[in-house]
Order: sequence, then C-alpha cells, then structure tokens
Amino acid sequence: MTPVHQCKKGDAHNIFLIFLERSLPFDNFFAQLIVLQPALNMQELGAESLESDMLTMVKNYFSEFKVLKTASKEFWLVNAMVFFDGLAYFSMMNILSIYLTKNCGFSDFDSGKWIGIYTLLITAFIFGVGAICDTVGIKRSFSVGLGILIITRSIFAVTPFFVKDQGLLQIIVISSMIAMSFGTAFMTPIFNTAMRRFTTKENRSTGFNVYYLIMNIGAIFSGFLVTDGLRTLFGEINGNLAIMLVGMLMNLCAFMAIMFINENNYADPSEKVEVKIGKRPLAIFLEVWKESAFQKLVVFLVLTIGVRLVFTHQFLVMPKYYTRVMQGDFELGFANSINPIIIVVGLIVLIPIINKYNTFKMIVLGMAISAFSLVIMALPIEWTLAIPGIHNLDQAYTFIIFAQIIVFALGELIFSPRFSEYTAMIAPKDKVASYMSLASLPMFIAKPINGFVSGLLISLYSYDGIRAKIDTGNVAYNNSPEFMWFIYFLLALMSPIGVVMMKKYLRSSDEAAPVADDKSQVC
Amino acid sequence: MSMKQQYKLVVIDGLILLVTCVTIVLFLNFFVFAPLKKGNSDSLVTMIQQDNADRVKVILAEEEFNKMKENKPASFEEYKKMRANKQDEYNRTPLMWLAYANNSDMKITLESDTKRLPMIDIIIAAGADLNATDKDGWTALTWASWSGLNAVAAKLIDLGADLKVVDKKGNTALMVAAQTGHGDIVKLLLTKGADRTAQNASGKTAKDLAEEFMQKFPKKNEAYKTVITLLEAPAVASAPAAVSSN
Repeated sequence: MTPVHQCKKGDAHNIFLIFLERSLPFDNFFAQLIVLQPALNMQELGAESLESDMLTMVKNYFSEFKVLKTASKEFWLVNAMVFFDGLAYFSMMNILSIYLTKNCGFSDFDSGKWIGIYTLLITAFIFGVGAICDTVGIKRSFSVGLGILIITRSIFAVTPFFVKDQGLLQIIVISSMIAMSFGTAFMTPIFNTAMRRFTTKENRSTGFNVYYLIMNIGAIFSGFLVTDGLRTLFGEINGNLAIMLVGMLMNLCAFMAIMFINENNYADPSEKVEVKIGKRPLAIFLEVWKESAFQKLVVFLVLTIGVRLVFTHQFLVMPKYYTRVMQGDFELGFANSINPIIIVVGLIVLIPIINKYNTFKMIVLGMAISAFSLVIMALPIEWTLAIPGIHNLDQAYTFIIFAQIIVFALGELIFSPRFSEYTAMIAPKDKVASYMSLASLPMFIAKPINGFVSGLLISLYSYDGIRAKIDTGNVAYNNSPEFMWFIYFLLALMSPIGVVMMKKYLRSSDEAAPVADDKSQVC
Repeated sequence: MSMKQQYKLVVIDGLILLVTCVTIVLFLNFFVFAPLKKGNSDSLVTMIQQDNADRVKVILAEEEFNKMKENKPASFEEYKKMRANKQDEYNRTPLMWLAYANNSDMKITLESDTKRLPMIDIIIAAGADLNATDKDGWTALTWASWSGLNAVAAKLIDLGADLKVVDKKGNTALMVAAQTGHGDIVKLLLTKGADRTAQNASGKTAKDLAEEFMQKFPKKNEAYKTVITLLEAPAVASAPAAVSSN
C-alpha cells in the first residue's frame, strides 16, 4: 500500500533523516525500507539459506522492539494517534470514489478528477505545512490538523442527509475535500517530528519501525473491519456515511490523546534546540537541475511514472471496478487490506533477502512484475473462464482481482525500496537529501492526471451496470473493463521497457555526479 | 536570513507549487479531458439509487420546475417529461436505473424492490417512456429481470411493458430472468404470455440458458431447477402479451 499522505519512518543514522527533518513530503514510504533492518547486515547473510535468513529477519525485527521499554508515554500516545489516523484515512479512501458518486451524485469522471486533485493538494500543502508545524509546535499543529479533519469528516457524514440540492451538496463536499487535504497534510510532518522528539538516538529507528507497522495495521483494519463491517451493517449508502462518521470519531480519539501529550518531554534533552529549517524546495531544484546526475534522475522518474500510476489505482479505480464487475456489496475493504498485509509480511521477511540482489535489475524486475499484474486483468475474461476450476464470471473476476493484488504487491516489494535506493545512489554524496526530496515531484503531476484518466476510463469501460451487459454477451472486448486494464497495462509497460532501453544512460556514472560507494549495487 | 524569513520562503514555495499544479489541473480539465467526458450526473438517478422516493417526488414537483433558471422548458408538464426521460451516456433512463440493482445478497435487492415500487408510479406519471431502450436494446423490464427486482418487474408488466423487446444479442426479458435464475420473474413473464420458444442470436432459448447457467453456478442449483421446471411446464392460458406503449 502506498498511502498518499503518509511519510514514513526515518533513521537517525541515515540520510533520510536529513530529509525528514525538513518535513518535506515523501510519498513513497518504501524509501524508508532501506533502513528497516538496522540490526542486520545484509551482506553478511549471503551464504545462509533462505529459510534461516527469513527466520533471522523475523526474530531480529521483533527482538529490536525491546529497546522501546524505556519509551515515554508520549511515544505510545503518538502511535495510538497514528493508528486512529490510519483507520480514519484508509477507510475513507477505500470508499471515497463510491461515496462521491452514490451519496453525492458526482459522475465517474468528476469523482476521479476530484480525488486526483485532493491527493495533489495534500502533497502541495505538505510543502508549506511542514514549516508551520515547526513554528507552532506539536500540540497546536495536531489540534489544527485534527480539528480540520473532525469538521470535514463530519460534513462528509451528515450533509448528504440534510442538503437536498445536489449542486449545493457537491459544492459543500468539494470545499470540504480541499479543507480536508490541508488537515491531512498536517499529519505527515507532525507525526515524523513527534516520533523523533519522543525517541532517543538509540531507539529511534525501532520507534519508526513501530510507527510504520502500526500505520499499516490501521490500514489493514480499516479494510475488512471498518469498510466492510459498516457497509454490511448499514448497506452501501448509509454504510459510506457511517464510515465517514467513524473516521471522525477516530480523529476525535486522536484529538483527545493530544491532551495527554507533554510536547516538551524530549526523549533526548540534548536535541532540545532550535529547529533548523532546511533549504527551500524550489531552491534545491534550482541548485541541482543543471546537474547531469539530476537530469538522469528526472529521466528515470519520468520513465517510471507509468508503473507508479498503478499505485494510485487502489483508491481511484479499484473500489468502482470491484463493485461493478462483481456486486455492489463486494467486500472491497478486504481486497484493499491484502496489499498492506503482504507489504507488512514482506517488509519483515522478504525485503532483506531481496536487498541482496542488484538494484537496477531488481527495479526492472519489480516494475515488470507490477506491470504484469495488470495483464491478469487485461486478458479477455473468457480466457480466465477457461482455467480449470473456474466456471462462472463471479469466480473469474474474483480470481483476477486477487491474483492482481498479490502479484502487484510482490512487484511493489521488489521495486519500490530499490527505486529510492537508486535515487540515493545516483545523487552526489552531498546532495542525497535534495535528490530524495525532489524524487516525489513527478508524482505531483501524475496524481491528478491519473485522477482524470481513471474517471474517464471507468465511465467508458467500467460503468455501473456493465456486469449485466457482460453476463448477456453485450460487451465486446474493446468496450470491456479488461480493455481498460489493457490501456493501463500499456502505460505501465512503458516503464520497464523505457528503463531497459535507457539502461546505459541510467547506469552510467560520470565525474560530475559520483555514484555512491557500492557501485556493484547499482550496476 | 532570519528563521521567520526562511519559513516564509518555504511557504511561498509551497504556494508556488500549489498554483503551478492548480494551473495544470485546470488546463487538463478544460482542454484535455473535459472534451472527452461523457455524460453528467443526474440527481434523479442518484435519489433512485439511494431508494429515496420522497426526494424523487420532490425533484419531479412543480417547485423544482419553478426554481429552474436556465434551459427552462415551456411548461411544468414538459419539465416532468424531460426529467423522467433524461438519458445518460448509455441511453439509460431514470426508469431503467430504478429497475437496476446489483447485489450478491438477495435480501438487499428485495429491500430495494420494496422501496422503489412507489417510485414507478411517480416516474410514469411524469411521462416516462415505459419501453424506452438503452444502447444495447434493454428496457426497464430487462433490467428488472436481470436484477431480480420482482415487484418492480411485476409493476412494469402491469403497466404494459413490452415482453417481446429483444436486445442486440436477441435476448428477451424472459431469457435474462432465466439466465440469472430469477424464478419469480420467469413465472410472472410466462403467466403474461412471454414467448418461451424464442431464441437469441446464439440460437438459445430461455431454458437452454437456464441449463447452461445452472452448470456455471452450482450453488444456485435450486433456483435454476425451479426456472427450468417453469419453462418446461405446458403453457397455460395466459393474458396476451402486453403491447408497447410506443
């Protein structure tokens, strides 16, 4: 799962900390995975068997948590807030596109567009909000961010009941979404600041591990428990409103937790110094854009946009796709929970093993696997029906949905951490943080574009009622949901192909941009 | 440079990025994607999907007509007819949306069935075309037959829905109901004189389809058995098939 607003954990001994200190946005949490296993030296594990490797990883991962025995109450309160926020955010994202259409009357095109804009605004606001957080302090920032979220989620939950004019309702919902993006933007930098403040240098890396783990657990629970539970209990329309209401209550719980936080309780009093603000994002850009290494990075980022678009499908395309090719009461929360489950397990068990292999090859392999996951859904559904054991469309669609989720998550596990590693490696040693911070910029543009594209493709190939027409043979392949995935597959496929075609350029090092020490990892 | 100034610059950068992105979004919206966009949302359809009969009544009431400022029809009657027959990008009318539900749990479908029943009179009274077809040739009755909305299907038939309409693939409402294993609707259609011998473009009758889908959905064996029994039973004297209102 690649959450839209969540920056992930850092490590005091790691380059990413420099980046996190400045509270700049960083959408790809996998960047953090590079530092996930501080207790282990990957290279030392080379000769061991895969099984013992995995066992060691699991043991080390959990034994490392012992250092948190001394962590303050503030640390655990912040983690509780992370859980509440994750529950509220992911459960809302699971149904947002459906809510906009079914509860508020947005067309497919408009709902895709507004979700794209919403995610874009979160990223944009984080740039400014980071500085505000550093100035006003943790408690005030939490209060402002959560206050906005409580109000906007309440508006989402109750206005469809009271506002009968659809035009007016849509204006209110859009305004709330814009305000909500501002509130959501507060959460990322402030959680990072709080985690740093309430951990010592010794237990910080583990503290961030816990933070990351809890957030993903929140994502898992938000799916099958909140999303599916409430939709089953109250039906689709009222269930969506109940999910918004529960999100508001979760934010309220987080808000109450603030009262018990003493923001001056620094885990390491020596860190109680005036916060140094980093360089301005645009200043960084102006500084590095002429460098050949940066140009190489831009080429790499642009080439990988195709496959990275797939990351945004989970909330933009999938909810409507699932409920339309299957049924309206399809357990989409459960489907959306599988990705974070695989990521959490993979994070503990697989990543350290995968990390032993060549970075560039892993990037291409991971991207190819992620792109391939779309082939499963792009094949004519009749082909899936020919698989032994699959007799009907329900089984065929269930099979391709879950196969895609699993294959994509595996690809994501392989490619995402190495993607960030590549960025770190290609950057000149003194500008790693700058390069890392700018690496999220292409997604800045990709998010709204996929919002538009998804809305358009859903309205054309996955419209409400299409299952009835598929059942009765009225939908040709070029009008089917499978064709939509074929288009997305072509977009995703451009990434691994492009990277392979440009590999000479992307893997080359030059004097102006010395590549990181371990060249063998890159090449 | 003081801290305050530095913070200010970061915020300004954020705003610059924001403005840049908003500009890109607006450009994409108006010049790239909006021309490709098909169809707009319809509040009447939204309320139907929410099973909200009261709001459906309000939307088709004179007050709503009086509120209109742009493209106002000449009379209230025209307004009602226009609203009740407004088609989406796939030529589906509000009546078709009313006859559509897609749930794995039939309990949910039957709840909708009950809640939507009173809406039919409102929409028909407003001047909805009972036998209008969408781009694939489906009528509201075909949609109800697929969805398993028994009461809605019965009401549509009572109001005179055409049982002989076929879609682009030659399917009748009876074939669609048989294929989805909706025994009550099959029974109703047969009672009203639907042609059980009609064949679709693949040369299959309603019974052939029921048998084919029974193999595919073994869990719904009983439902399909009922359908097949109904289709095998000798034709009883029935009311003549209703004629299209067109």
